[in-house]
Amino acid sequence: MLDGSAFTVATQIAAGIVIATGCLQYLSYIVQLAIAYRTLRKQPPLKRAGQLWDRYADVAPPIALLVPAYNEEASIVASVRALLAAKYPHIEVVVVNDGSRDGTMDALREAFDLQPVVRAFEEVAPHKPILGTYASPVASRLLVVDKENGGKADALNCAINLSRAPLVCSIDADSILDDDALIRAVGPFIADPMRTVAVGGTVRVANGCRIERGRIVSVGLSRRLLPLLQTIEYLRAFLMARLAWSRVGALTIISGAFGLFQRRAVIAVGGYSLGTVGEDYELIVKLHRHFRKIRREYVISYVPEPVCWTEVPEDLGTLGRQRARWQRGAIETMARHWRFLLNPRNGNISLFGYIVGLLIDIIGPLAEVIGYILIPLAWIAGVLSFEYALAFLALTFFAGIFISIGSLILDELELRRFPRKSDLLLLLFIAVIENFGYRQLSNYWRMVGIWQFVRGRKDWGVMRRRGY
Amino acid sequence: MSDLLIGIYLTASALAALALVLAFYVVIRRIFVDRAIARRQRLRQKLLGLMLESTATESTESAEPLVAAIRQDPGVAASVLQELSENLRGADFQFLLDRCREAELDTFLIKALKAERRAHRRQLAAETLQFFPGTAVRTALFSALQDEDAEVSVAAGDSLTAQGDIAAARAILDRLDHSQGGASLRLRTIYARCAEQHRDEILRLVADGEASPVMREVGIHALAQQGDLAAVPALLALVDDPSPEIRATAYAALARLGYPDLSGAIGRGLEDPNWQVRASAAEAVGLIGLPDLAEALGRLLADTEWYVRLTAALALVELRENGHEVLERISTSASGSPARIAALVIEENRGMAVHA
Repeated sequence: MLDGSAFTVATQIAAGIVIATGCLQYLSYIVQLAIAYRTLRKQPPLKRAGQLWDRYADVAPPIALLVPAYNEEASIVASVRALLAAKYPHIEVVVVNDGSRDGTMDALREAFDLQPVVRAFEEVAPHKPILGTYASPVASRLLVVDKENGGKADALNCAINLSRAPLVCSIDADSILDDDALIRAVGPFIADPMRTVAVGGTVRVANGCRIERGRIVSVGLSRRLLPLLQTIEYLRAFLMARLAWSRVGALTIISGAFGLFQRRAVIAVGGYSLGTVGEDYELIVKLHRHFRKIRREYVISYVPEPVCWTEVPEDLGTLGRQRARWQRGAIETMARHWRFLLNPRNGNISLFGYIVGLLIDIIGPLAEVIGYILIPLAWIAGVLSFEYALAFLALTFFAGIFISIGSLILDELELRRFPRKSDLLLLLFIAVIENFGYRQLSNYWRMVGIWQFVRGRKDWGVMRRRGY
Repeated sequence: MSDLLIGIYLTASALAALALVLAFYVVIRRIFVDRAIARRQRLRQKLLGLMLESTATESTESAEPLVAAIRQDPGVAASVLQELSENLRGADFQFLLDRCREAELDTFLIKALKAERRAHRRQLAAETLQFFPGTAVRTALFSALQDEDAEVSVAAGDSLTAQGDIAAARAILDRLDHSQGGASLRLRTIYARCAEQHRDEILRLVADGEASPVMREVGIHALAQQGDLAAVPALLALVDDPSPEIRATAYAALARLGYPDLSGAIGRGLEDPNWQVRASAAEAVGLIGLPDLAEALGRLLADTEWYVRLTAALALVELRENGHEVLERISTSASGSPARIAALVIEENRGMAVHA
């Protein structure tokens, strides 16, 4: 296959690394798929929310919904109304206007007839100064905080300080919670109150769903390609990866769009870290560190059934910026906590949370991009035969298709969130085509994220949304 | 073609074939599942109608279609029965249970509890069997106490106590494995039932320092839930327990019982070395209303732990005049964190009064 020149040797070594990385990456995907499948089959979610009410209504602890809002004038009122109407026995909604430059605060003031109030609190998690706190005579469970701009983590810290409930739930202002999402998510806190410190739910793509007054009326798929591709990605990330890592006690991320936390635990680790774009990832790693340090048993889990719907980007520019930022956030956290995450005494967190995370998020995409460049080059230079080049590419693509279809099956087996058969067929088609073009594009965005991290970039970038 | 190349092609082909098979499987399965769900829904509706109809007439002869429908899919019948148990009572529900027995639903459920592979189905069987007291059911439920799935074992314990088998309380508590700490909500129900008639069993459990902290905590909650002041001496003994979690839970339970003559014990709790215990004791002062501890609460506004400071400040509000005096004094005479939190709590309370 190859001749004996130095170029050949170099190509062989590089090819060996790329192939080994690819094999390890897909092996880890298959392991995740198998664990997630077993977990879902063993304990499928309760189908009827009514049963949950019977079980939990009397003992469900109060939850504070923390809603950081920055320039959300168009959707904030509908979002807050939907949250206030959430089906849960005891909630308070803490909206933090994070120095918006648009009319977010005015919209809230007008819609809820906000009146200034004083709320006693301790600034145990750091944040920028508060300009005012407001309550509503028409919505007694609402507290609105107006503060100087400090970013999402800063706003969440402020909300945590001012909330009173023992559990806090971080959600994005543009996200929509399923009616029964909270009662489902709180289950682990009730079942194991002494050890449960954080629970993550599933984030799904809202594009294509019918939404009325801030609520999902019927689930559907977008007719645009980018949201469809992201639908498969989200299934893979949540139903496969998080469920599997949660099962083995190695969950290192709970999405910032929907996570439920024990308030005291979050404060014990100093709240969200400021100056990072991966504050959700960082928080979970800090919680792991803290409880291992104080040698207290704890559980951080993922529950597949509570669903939060989010609008995903529909244009390449916004999606690229989002993905690069996620990649940057992941590397920031991995770099900041590498000693803890690499410590073999931390068992599964070290192995699955860090080493496999590193393989899948950083080394894998890097190797794949190198592979795409290397294989044609080697073929052109005559050091790799056409048969081999084709075989490697076929292996990569079919493995990708297999994993994507596998994660779709996870959803289909127990959750069945896509009611129409045509939706299922469309997603199967997307699971195949995402491997040709979109996957490579995702890897490119990851490379951009790595480059931004190396350059020390800290901003969030502009996110364009269509709105509901 | 080399062996390596053949290997790669074979692996790729296997993955492609597997992906294709999975895709077909998903689509075909969806068609069948949709049909099965539609069938189960139809049967569910039919069963609901027949069950309600038969309870209205209470005629054994006219209930024959119901018995046949239960036999058709006992799993669906069990879940419908569960649903109706929330709304039907007395003779009506008993009539329904008799028809279920006639259709041998209990026998089906015993088999499911023993042999069903999926835990949630065993759990449904354990939950539904509570309606069918009898030796065979009791034996099956007792065996299920050692089920590998915590939810199933606790559901079995729940059903046993629901059947009034309180005499078996000790055995139930001993056989449940709580090492994983799961399913505490159902444990609470079981313990509360045990606490009604077998308080001594629960008292023995909560005093047992060797028992799992989760079990002890749930036991303490169950005692408090009963509202029985006779549990106060036992709870008072627990405020000196070596485990801070147990001490904190004991203070919360005492607060729930609202026994007024507790200043001494709760005062000690306010000076506990563990912050969770101090916070729990502070909350108890506010809930019970112990004005003689207002000064001690005031000192906690300078506590090293924020949660204790905030809890103490809010408890002072609950003490009304005595608490307000302390808050006013601290807000004007003290400095730093205590003065700030006192002033904020006063302001907040004033604002709330205006809104009210």
